[in-house]
Amino acid sequence: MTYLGEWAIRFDLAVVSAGMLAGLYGIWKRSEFFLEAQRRALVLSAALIATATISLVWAFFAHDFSIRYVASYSSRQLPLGYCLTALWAGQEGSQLFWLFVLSVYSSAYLWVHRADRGDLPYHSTGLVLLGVQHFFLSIVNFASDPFVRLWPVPPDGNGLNPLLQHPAMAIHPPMLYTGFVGMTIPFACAMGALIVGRLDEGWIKKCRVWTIFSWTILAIGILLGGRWAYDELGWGGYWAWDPVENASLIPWLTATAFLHSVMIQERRGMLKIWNMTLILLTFLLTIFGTYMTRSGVVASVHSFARQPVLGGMFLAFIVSVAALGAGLIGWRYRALRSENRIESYLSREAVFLFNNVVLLGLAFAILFGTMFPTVYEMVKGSRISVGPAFFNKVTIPLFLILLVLTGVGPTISWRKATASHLIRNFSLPIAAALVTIGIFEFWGIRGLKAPAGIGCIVFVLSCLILEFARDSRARSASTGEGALAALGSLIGKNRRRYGGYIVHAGFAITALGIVVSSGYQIQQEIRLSPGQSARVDRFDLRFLGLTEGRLPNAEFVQATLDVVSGGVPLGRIVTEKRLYEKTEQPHTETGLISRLGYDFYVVLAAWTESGEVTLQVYVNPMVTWVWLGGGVLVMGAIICLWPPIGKHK
Amino acid sequence: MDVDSSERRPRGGIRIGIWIILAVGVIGYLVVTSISDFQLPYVSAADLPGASGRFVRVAGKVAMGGVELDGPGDISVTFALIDEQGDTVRVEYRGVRPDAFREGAQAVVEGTFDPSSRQFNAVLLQAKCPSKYEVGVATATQKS
Repeated sequence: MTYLGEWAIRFDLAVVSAGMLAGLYGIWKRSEFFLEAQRRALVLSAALIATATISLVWAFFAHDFSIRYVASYSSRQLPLGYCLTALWAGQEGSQLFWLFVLSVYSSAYLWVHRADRGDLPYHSTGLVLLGVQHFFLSIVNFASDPFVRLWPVPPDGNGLNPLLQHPAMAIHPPMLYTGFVGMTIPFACAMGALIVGRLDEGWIKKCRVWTIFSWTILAIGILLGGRWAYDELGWGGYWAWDPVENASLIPWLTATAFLHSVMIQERRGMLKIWNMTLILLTFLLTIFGTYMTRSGVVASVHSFARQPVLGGMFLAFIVSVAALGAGLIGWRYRALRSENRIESYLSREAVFLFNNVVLLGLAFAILFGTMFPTVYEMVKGSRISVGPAFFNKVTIPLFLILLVLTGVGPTISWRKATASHLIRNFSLPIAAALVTIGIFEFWGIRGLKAPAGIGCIVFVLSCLILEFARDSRARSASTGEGALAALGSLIGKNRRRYGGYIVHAGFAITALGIVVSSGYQIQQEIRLSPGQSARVDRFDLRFLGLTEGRLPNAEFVQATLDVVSGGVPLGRIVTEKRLYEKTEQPHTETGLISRLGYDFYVVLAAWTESGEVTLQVYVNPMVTWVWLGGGVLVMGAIICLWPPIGKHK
Repeated sequence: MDVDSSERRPRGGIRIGIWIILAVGVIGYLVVTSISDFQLPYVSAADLPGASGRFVRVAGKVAMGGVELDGPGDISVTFALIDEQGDTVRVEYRGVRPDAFREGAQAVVEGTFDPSSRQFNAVLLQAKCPSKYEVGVATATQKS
């Protein structure tokens, strides 16, 4: 079975190479026969990659430790569910998984747009997809082969890192990969359009839909990664500006910029070169992010061992894609010229452009901070580090500007906004924001940044609510529908627009969670003997006692506590340390009570023979809203993407 | 207001390009210049006395047999850190130890060096199991 997988990836290299040649010739000569051959190569390649992936997963389930990768990341005791997730636990497997996701996307592309089979851009996009597949196939075949054998065969494997034995690990990496890899499709559409010089509406439509899809999945992946860190790492937070986290955020920011500026192109025929550049940049950044984390070039908690060959291949690929992409844009320069000019600073176009500048500024700042230590070491020879303080300082003002634009963008009119229009739309939200900040100051709540942030969020949410209220009132006046029915049909009739507003609302809600939880977090270290109580903020904690026990693959020590707030029992918290047998590494399981208003988060730090414990306690206000906002955002994105009813084939 | 002035302009456009370049320049300048306030140098154990009082980072390996806990149930820890050149420094850290911290693990500490006690007072301790992801193949083969 595993030999079949190995054979499949070797053979696929030939299939993809042949497919690319056929495609090139087919596009050159406009030959239907060769274009069809290329399409079939893409389909066959997907089948071969699926075979390889399934056979590696099979090897995990069958405990086939003759494969080095399987021996390194699993053991006989590993629960069956984690035999599947072990596929992406290490370098080689995650590279194969990447390829697998890409081939699924490629097939999805071929299938979704099958009606365009007679069109040339359909095939030139396929050619670009084959090119990207070729690169990852070369990686899997030559630089990080998942099918390397071990001889003699070890009786048992090394086991999976306990940190990765968490349900979020089953979803978070595939989500991130699906989001990352998904950016290949818009890139391929854009480059495909450039290759054949078909720069009309067609490519933008495809591009936009695929970008929204990948963008949403990437957002889910980032938020789930945060959730995993919050649940597993036990430091009370969810985002640490780690290079791997940054690597996933940067392309998301540039993709966000693209999704906005592409609207200007659709509406006004402007910014064509800019949009092409953004798509190219986003794709390059996903590859660069993979390079950063996979080649070990940047030190990180997530990073894999240093691999110079792999790193070199990635760099060569990035440079050649950048050169090819820039060359194509330059070649089609004439067709990409702007049809219009921006008429006023107070217009949606100008706001979108400003939003693009801020998003790219953010992407640049984060990339700069992430790469700075690496570049510094190369240039000066000594090592430095750049901590979270830099990222917070630089990005918070930019994120606040972005937040305000989230409210302004949907409300301001195209071309030119009049003064009366501005007053009507923004006086109420501005008043609401000022009142909020005023209340905070009046109550003397500490800090200035957090109230300012909350003020911005109130502004955004009231802008959006007003917009919904105004439009649905207008609709109910003209159609006679009830208020709720009018709102429903309003969203249904213009899904793209109102779905987008809901995405904005989700972003604001996530921002609220971030601002409040980071601004007003309470952290305290307490020592308790069994039966003793302690007070943290407005909560009373009673320590019931320590229990020791065994799991199939680990030993554990548990501390149990009762939490009471103002005489009302909130519930019981169990926090534990586990010692996994294979790795002998302790592992923290945090105790958590999660409510809408706050999270009560307890980590067992140390304990004595007599049963005394030291606990690290965090109260994180409104932290759940971070993920709640994520849910709203995804809902909005689904509304945007939902295919128009009645246009189904 | 800008609205009015742009209305009077003959081609009805505004010079947004200049503003964008300006904004990009400002953001870029702020980012690049502010990094020097936040960069933290890595210092080797031998150079620490020269950097006493300054906030620095030291990277190395936790020495075997050098880990002392302040007392049972307490979370303070003192240990010897061997840096990449092989020099050793005593580190004291108060706070919750990361799970990966143990003898032989790779560790990074952040804090200040106290020349009088010849001890490094760490406010941040990061640890990484030496074989965190790339679980050594050698160990797998040896087992057989």
